[in-house]
Amino acid sequence: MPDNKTPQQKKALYKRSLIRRHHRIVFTAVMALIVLLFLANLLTPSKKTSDAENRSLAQRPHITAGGLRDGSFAEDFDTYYSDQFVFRNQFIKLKFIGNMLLHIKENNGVLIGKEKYQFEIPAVPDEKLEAKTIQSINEYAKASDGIETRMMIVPGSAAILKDKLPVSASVPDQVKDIKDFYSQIDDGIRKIDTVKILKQADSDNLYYKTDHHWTSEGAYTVFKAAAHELGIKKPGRYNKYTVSTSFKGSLSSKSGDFIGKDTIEVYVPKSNETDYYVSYPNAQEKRASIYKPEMLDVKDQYLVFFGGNHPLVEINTTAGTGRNLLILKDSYANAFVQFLIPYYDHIIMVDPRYYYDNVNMVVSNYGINEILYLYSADTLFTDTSLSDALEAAADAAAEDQDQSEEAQGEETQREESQKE
Amino acid sequence: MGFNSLVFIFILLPFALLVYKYIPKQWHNIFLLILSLFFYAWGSAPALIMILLSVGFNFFAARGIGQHIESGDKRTARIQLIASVAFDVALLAVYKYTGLDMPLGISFYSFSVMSCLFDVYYGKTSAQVEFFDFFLYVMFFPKIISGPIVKWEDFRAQVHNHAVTRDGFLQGFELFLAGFFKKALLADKLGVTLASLLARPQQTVGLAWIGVFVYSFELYLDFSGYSDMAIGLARMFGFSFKKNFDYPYTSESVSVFWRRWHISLGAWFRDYVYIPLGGSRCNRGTQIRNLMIVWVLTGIWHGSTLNYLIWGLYHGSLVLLDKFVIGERLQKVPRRLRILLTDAAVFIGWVFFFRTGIGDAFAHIGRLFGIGAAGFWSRATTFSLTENLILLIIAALCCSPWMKNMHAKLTYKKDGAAMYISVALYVILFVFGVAGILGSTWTSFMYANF
Repeated sequence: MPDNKTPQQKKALYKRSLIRRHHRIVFTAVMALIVLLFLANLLTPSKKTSDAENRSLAQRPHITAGGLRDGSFAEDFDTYYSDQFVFRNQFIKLKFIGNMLLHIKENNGVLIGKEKYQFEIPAVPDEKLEAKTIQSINEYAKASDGIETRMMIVPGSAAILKDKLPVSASVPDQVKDIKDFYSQIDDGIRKIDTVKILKQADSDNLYYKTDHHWTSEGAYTVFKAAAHELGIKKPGRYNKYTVSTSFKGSLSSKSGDFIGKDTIEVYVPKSNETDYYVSYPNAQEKRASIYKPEMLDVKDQYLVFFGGNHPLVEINTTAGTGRNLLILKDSYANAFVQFLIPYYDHIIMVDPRYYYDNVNMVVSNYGINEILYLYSADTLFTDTSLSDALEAAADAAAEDQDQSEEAQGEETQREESQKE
Repeated sequence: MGFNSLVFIFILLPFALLVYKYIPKQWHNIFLLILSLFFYAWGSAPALIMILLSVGFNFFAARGIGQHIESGDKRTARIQLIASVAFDVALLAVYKYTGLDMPLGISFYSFSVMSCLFDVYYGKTSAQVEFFDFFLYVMFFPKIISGPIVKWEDFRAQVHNHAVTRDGFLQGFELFLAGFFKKALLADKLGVTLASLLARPQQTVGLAWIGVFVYSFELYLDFSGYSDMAIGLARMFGFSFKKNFDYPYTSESVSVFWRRWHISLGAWFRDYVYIPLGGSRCNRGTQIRNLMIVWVLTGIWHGSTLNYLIWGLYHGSLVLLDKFVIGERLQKVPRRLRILLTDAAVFIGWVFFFRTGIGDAFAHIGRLFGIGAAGFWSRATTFSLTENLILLIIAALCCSPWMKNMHAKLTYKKDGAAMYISVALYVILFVFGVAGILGSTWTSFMYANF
């Protein structure tokens, strides 16, 4: 049969055959991938835990009549299937790469900045909460007359390392928020201008790149500059030790565990005149060091300081200065306290988020004569536990006073009746 | 179960295709029914009983109407039709307005069963309704959760006549993938973007507009992507459904938009509400009333809050405006400008969808025009724009035929090399899509949570 098709017809036919071929190969390739991944999922044994996510992974659910009826079996199976999916971590990284290709700098609430810096977006203060916290601090200061009180609010990295943020990134202005907060605190409380100190610091190691905490160097920078305000006339010198070079912190975990690693350093006083031991009453544990090196083997290596947050930590030293310090704090304090040890007889760290006893007991039991509020702005502006603790303490103090007045009254009565 | 779930893509779909290929043809429909029941029951088992009751009730209703139609007793048929439809609508309303747990897909399958009642009554199909066919029609897994709302008439015509052709199967698979890309690569990302935009404390005029664009693209890509997946899947099993979206954001008027957006829903209201009421073959007053009835119903079909009612009235007014007032005059305006105006009207309407409260919605619309906004522009606005610019551009291109045309132009050229690049791209995008799904399940704990 003679070929009587026009060139246009031929072209159209050819195009149609190409489209068919495209369909065919796409189907073959994608279906092959689906089948391969299906088989790989089938053959890979289930993992118990995920290191990257630091959690236990869902296991294959058991079929039960109840689970089938209420749909929970299907839900559990879906979770199991995605938790145990082969190359799960690699797929997550791929998603991260995809976002980078699209120029999207925010991953799960973490901003990916320059030089592998990751930033937590600062919390916007809740005005009501803030007012309550401020009021309780001021009232507690009045109630605890004679105790030297200081306050140190530490900004998050996004407020200080502005030039490392992604281009034109805009985050809530924590510098202003801290200023506002300070301005409402009574003049009797000495406020340490951490923002100014950190901004002027000539260092690019004030904050971790992969974690939401400040580094020991960041804490040291503030300590050095604020020593005088803390009542430390001549701050001593410290030896710096690197304890980890493989720290992947909270921000890295949140954003997909993809970029960057940090170094953790600790600072130990050069002169070892001051001996101390640390006591964790609720764990009934005593230690000769504030560091817990075993924590360098877990995911969150920042736990090397005190093993994390505790309701109450007691540091007893041989400093013999007669100064007893109560620190009301969050985890930012954990990296700061290492500098304070040589200057106090007792340092009591109370984390109101976990501490449910009366703060006044601490004050009287340890003969506290100084109080330091040491908080990251993010915690202080969003947390209710500090104001709760302080209000409870103030109420208890007022009650004590009432009781002692009553007792006095009774005594006078008794004296009077005796006279009769 | 959703089409974009890992269990569907990696277990159920390959399994279903394999079985379907090798079982004898006469078992195809039975297998599809079992598959559909499993698909629906996966995660929504408690709702299955409701759907089965609805199937039973409406089957007998349809059969009754059919018998009366056949015996020429149109009046009784009519009474039965009205009573049955009233029951279906009441049931749907009870679920929507009482806050009970809605059975998955109830808005869609309720409209399917009513379509059967209407088609039998109007004699569009034979008055005989076979139980099995009807059951499969309601349950058919590609359409049960989010449509398209295929009419009984259309489904019945192919239920015993849906041979899988090689070309049809492969086209279906590619359509499924295209829908998957829209959903998993674009819509889901836009969803994350929107959530962070709406949470920003200082809402400027610029941010308000970016939010409107992000949501408009997200809604289209999400919904049309899901429809593409559904239609593609149906095609792979031999059914051909009409398209549900036809590049609605390139429409030159709101009336045209509604012929190209969620086409199956529009067709349902046209055939079973608008035309029975007299359609446009009546005086202008009645016609306006008919249109407004359709628009109020369309609005409340989408959701139970006041927002949806207002949105329906808004679109109804726009259609009336187009039809009776400015439509002809607008013909003189250049086509591109008309498309822009249409999109502006439609996009602003979506504010009622993504701002949940009525006050929130009007506040957002106010901010679009500077009322109550925290300034016109801010640093945060620049960041939100630059951060999402590439995503928004890609999304915009995917909302128009441009992407498809460009792909065809570049891919099917004389030498086959470009085609292989395109194939590679499909595979890569598929892998990124899977990464997107897995990425949303990433929950990292800093403190051990063993």
